[in-house]
Amino acid sequence: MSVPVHPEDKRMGIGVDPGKLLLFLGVLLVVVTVISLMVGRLRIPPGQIITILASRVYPFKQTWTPTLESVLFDVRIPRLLAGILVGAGLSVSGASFQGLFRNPLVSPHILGVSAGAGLGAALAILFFGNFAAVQLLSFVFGLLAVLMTYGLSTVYRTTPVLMLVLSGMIVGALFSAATSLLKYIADPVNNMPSIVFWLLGSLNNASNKDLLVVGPIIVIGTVVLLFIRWRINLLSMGEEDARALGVDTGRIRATIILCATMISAASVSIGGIIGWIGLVIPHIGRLLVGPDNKVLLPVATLVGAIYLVTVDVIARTAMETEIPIGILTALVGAPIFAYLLRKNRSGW
Amino acid sequence: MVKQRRNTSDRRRIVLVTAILVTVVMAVLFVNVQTSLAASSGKTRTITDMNGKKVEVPDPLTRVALFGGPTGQIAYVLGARDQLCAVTSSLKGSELVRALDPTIVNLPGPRSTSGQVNIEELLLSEPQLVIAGDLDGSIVEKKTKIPVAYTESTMAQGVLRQEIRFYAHIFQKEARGEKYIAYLDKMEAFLRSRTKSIPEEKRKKVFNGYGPAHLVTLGGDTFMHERILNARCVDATASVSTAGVKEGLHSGLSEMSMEQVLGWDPDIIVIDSGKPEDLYNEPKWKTVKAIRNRQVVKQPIGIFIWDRPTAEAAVLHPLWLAKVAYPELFKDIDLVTEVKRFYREIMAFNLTDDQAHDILNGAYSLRFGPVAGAK
Repeated sequence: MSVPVHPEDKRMGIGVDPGKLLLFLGVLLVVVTVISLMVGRLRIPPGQIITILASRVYPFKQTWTPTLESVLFDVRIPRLLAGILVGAGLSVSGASFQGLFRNPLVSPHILGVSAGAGLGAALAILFFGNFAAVQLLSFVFGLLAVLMTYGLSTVYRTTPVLMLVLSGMIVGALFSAATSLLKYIADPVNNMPSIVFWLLGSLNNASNKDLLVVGPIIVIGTVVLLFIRWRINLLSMGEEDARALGVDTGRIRATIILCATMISAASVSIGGIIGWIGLVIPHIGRLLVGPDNKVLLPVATLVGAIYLVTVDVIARTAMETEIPIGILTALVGAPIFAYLLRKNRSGW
Repeated sequence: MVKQRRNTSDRRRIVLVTAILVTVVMAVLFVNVQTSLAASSGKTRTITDMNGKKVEVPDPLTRVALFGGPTGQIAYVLGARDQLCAVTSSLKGSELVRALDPTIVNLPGPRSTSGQVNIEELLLSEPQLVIAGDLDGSIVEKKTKIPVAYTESTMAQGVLRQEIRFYAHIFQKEARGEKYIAYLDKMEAFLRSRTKSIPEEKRKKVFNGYGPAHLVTLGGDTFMHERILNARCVDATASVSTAGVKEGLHSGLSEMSMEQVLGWDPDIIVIDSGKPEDLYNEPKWKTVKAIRNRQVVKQPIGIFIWDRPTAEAAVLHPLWLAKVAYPELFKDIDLVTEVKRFYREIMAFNLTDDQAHDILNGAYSLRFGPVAGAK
């Protein structure tokens, strides 16, 4: 499969009508959403859940405990929404980055956002020890890292895309090393395990308050990326070709990086570092609909949301204790990726 | 052909020289190890460690490296501080230990966290015996010839007394070990008699919510379960098993689902980081009894944090928890006095009132970092 594939080539994928596929994925998302609300460590009868949900619209007589209501509205729904947002956001960022860098091995973390966020979280755990600080600092440091990457890449006047990747590696290595240093000097009894544990990722701490702040960032980033998806096609033809067509590649690149970074930093601040989604989901999308970003991006968005919500259901119900979701996404993602590489008929 | 032969002889010479060099280095190292062992040779005795393994150690034992955070204070409990030659960096980092035993900073601290052992620093401290958990012990055994006695590291319950006797046997301080166990027995008996009037339905349910998000906890198969029962409280996590090592967390700890904790609806939540207000102000906790009744409390920190199986916390933690849960039953008990009494009678430390207050308020922190050893 070394023949370059034109992004507009409609023959790739499994050959289903994209409209029908999107409809199917939409229905599937609704199904996993309902399942996600119904299951959990606490067994609540489905009828009761429906009644509690409906009570927000119709004033039913309250026959349930406030705890059940809280479980639904303060825990399950925020966690479900966080799963949808983070899954969709990371997948659409991953797909956009893979288009931008014209490289299928790129994930949204390539520019150092997770390394930066990790350092921010470690600092917050060491100096504040409360969760709000962890979220704020991980977000700020995630952005800071990408800003540094971007700044560094403009210092060298060569192929911008290559310089971005290299700068991302440098900045990522720097921030990771700083995090390791903090872990080394941190109190090994409580703080260090907290840092390591946070880095494994979890949606267990998602709350309505977080979603109000972070949700809009992810939604706006995702919508913008979806809106400019046809321009990503132009970029993936190559810098020169795109410029020859009169496309302002620098501006599109900056827009993609800004959106993907805001999404990833926001995702990390809710759920820690959840790997493999942004890398694997776009490939699943390509397997389904081929490499055309116009179709691929919406498909990846939906598949990502479905995937993360499903994995999170496993993370919170499979054992009596929480399974860090980063472990699961890697456990599931890596074999899928291996399989996709072997298949490799999706083109790219 | 000639050239090739010369190459061969060159190669031989290189191999020979290398072999000689390696032999010399090995011999020097071997002699070094031998001399350091010989320095303490003479009488030996055999001890049995907590894994049932027999270990031969010099008699008397004067240089012991003690690894494993919670057990650091055992030397004070047994009056065996002089027999230590190396400790964990967490013991050296304890503000309270530094205040009570300033010379602790002069001891090397080759072990920082589980699995992190600086072998050179350990060798420099010339130990006759290393006491460690499974991971650290296996590292020491693999890299050195120092005998290793294994201690308990799973955070399981019901092993404290056995562990104390194990240490007492090693340090030959059996009387001090029994004195501590008697103190512990007396405390448990006191708590039992004081709380026996509490009917089953009035017992308070306790959840330990550790970490920045207050969802990491110790399950019903750990030592913490016994402590909660000793305070005649109900263990929210009684049905959960967390003993053993989990990825990214300290042995014995696991994260619970938020909704699971809401379902348990504990009367008391014990936190180890942040402030009770963090939970009072977070809407998702609002239905929990402990939040509605303002019963979120911060856990005390003494020589070591109290959510570890230490000698200190085994005695004082249930008493503290019982007083938090049932203040009306413990009106006559002043925790400051009790903390001071334990430190004085068991560890021969005279705490000031302020120090005892700081312990109870969880004000002591553990300072960490690459603290240089004596050598």
